[in-house]
Amino acid sequence: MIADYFRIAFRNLRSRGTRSFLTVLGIFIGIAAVVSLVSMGAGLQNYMDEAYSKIGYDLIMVLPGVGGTMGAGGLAIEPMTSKDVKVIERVRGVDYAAPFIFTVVTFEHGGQEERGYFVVTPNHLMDGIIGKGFGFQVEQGRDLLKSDRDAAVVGLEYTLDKFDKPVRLRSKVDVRGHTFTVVGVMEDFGNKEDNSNFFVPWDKGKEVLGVGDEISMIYVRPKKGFDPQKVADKIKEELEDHRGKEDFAVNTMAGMAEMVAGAMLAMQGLIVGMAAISLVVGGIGIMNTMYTSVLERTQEIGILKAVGARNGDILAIFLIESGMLGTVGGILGCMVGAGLGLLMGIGATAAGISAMQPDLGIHLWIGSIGFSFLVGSLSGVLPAMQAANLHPVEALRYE
Amino acid sequence: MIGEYFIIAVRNLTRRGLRSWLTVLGVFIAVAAVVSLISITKGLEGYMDEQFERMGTDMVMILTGEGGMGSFGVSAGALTERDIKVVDRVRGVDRAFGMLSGAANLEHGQEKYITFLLGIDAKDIEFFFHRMGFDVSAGRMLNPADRSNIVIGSRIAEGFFDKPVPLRSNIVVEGHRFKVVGILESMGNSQDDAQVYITKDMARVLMDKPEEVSNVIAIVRPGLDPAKVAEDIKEELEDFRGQADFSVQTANQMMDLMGGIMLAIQVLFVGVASIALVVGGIGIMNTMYTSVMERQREIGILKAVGARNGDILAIFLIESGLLGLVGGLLGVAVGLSFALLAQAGAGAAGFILHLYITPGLIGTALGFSFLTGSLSGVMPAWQAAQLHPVESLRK
Repeated sequence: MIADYFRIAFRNLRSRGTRSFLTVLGIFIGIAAVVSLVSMGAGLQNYMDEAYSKIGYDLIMVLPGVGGTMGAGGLAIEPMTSKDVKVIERVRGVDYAAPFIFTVVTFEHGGQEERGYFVVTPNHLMDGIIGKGFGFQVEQGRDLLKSDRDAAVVGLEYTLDKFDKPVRLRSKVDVRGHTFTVVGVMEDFGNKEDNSNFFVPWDKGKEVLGVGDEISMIYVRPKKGFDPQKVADKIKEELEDHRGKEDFAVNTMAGMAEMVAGAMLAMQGLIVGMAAISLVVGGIGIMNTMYTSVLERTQEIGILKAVGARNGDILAIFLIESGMLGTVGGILGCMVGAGLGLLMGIGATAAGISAMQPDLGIHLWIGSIGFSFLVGSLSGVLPAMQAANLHPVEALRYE
Repeated sequence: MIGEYFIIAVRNLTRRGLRSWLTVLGVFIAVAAVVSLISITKGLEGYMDEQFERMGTDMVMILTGEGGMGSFGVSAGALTERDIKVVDRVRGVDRAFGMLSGAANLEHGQEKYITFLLGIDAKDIEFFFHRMGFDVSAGRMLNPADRSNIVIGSRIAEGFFDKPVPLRSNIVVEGHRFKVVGILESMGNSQDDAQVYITKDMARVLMDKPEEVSNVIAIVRPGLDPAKVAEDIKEELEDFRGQADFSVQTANQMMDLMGGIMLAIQVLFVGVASIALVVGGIGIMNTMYTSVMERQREIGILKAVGARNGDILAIFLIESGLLGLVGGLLGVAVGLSFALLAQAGAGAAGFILHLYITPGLIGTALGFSFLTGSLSGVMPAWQAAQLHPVESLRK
């Protein structure tokens, strides 16, 4: 019975080849756009999740400036100092507090000058401070040690195309007249910004910048078994007491991850929502095709009814037909959308953003093909009902 | 002749009312989305350009830090009053001044909030307010004699604290009592409207920063190229400071940067929304193919009584173009209503959204939808025109 419905629907679609093809094309374009955009969004989300779990959801970051502006845009801020670090260290549940100094400087290598992020690390606290602080590891060479003075660990970007003459292990890089020797290269952070980090030891880094007792941000690790959020709240309280006002921000990694995920979801919703407009237009196309189909086959419907087909049978035949239009469009759209996603991923990698990779999980396929079936069926409901409610005698008389 | 074509086309469209309506609906939705997005994003861009224009393209901004983000991360190497003097002496600089800005605690009644404070040099106050286009809605501007007087943004006056802050009332900033002598007109965004302005000398006392300035602004002499003067400033300042730990940007450079970002957003949004227009065009093509098929006999008769291929082509092209045009008309109307609705919504949230609505936009949208319709109709119309008269009569 159902098989018969399918055969009838299929035959009808074939007999109107051009029209069916164009209708499918409409849905196909919409699905391809949605699938490629959703796959990129999901892929980016995966990358973020991975990065966050590497850094550790328990990490607490303390930044100066109201809302953690760090003085961007020229706003004067009261910088953090070693006294603030002491205050944080004394908070119950804090394992260690690692101060970092972070700014943009010009690097010189092979006679060429390029800008990058200069990160002064508290290597005097412990060996391997970059790996412990940032979660990302040194891939070539080694991490900074307590005893390092003129050593530097560079982000991936320095070894690629930042300089005409790529930076390698044991290369020399100059900053404001001081020379650093590269001892390590970081693994890929997944984006150009973080890959442009240049990590240096505490004493020499401060000397280069000429800063006194001043810190850009403090990374805090809570002890095992303590709730990071509670420790963060306590830090905020103590620091506000100490500094006299809340001109800083205390963020937990978990809180930041949530915020970023929320912002990304909103952005994704906006873009996918706009792509979905084309799906609505495609659905209207299906509805149009189905109305035309009902009109053209009025006599056929009359005959079917005359030989005993009930309203439900007619409804089923037309719904299957419109559902098939949607599904075929969905399958083709998924394939092309996945291809587009992969292409965008390749493009992003070429642009130095290896984090932007599509996630083409099975749920995406099932979800979008199921959705296109739904769009097709829903678009077919009104025309199919019109067909089902035709009066047999009048339908037979129709020309 | 053309008039008759139109009559035939309109008659055919109205005869298949539902189908024509659905086809138009597809185009209409797409055009509405594109038009509202362009209107909003272009409006935003225009607003930003206007802001820059108002501040003047003869402006050069000097910030600490090499990244152009200000003293991002470290305050060492901050700009000072001495740097202002160096900039002021550069050939081609008409005048240079610096502000001291930062966060400050505000107290009013029992309530306490943190907001941004701008300290401006007594001699520059009038020039600065004039240049930025600030106007007071009540009271007066800050003047050089003001010491414990303050000018506040419109949101500080109303909306920031539970209790409004009227003119001549007192407000406590960083523990010092100030008298409100002026309230600024709303600038349309909640951040600017939540700032307060005092003299730089007072700001120095409050922030305990005796020498530092947050940025230096140089005004270039009329007729000189700001980019060239910016180069000179960079050179002189690097000589003076011993290193290039600052950035120099002209208003045009900042405008270009912002313009580039806006353009990228616009291309992304409008591009994605335009996909719907393609799908709508395919819908028109489909409707036209169906129409050609249904009217084979009619085409045969027309040809039998002397219609040439070109006539048939014209009739069908006009029909598909009309489908696009009607969709475009509805789309422009609904799209602009959407944009106005968004404007009202943003207004309720404290943002002034400037829309870009010009005859050019409307005309382009209509022309484009007519074009989409006609192009989508080309292949079906061509097929109709090529039909053999005898064979089509036999159908």
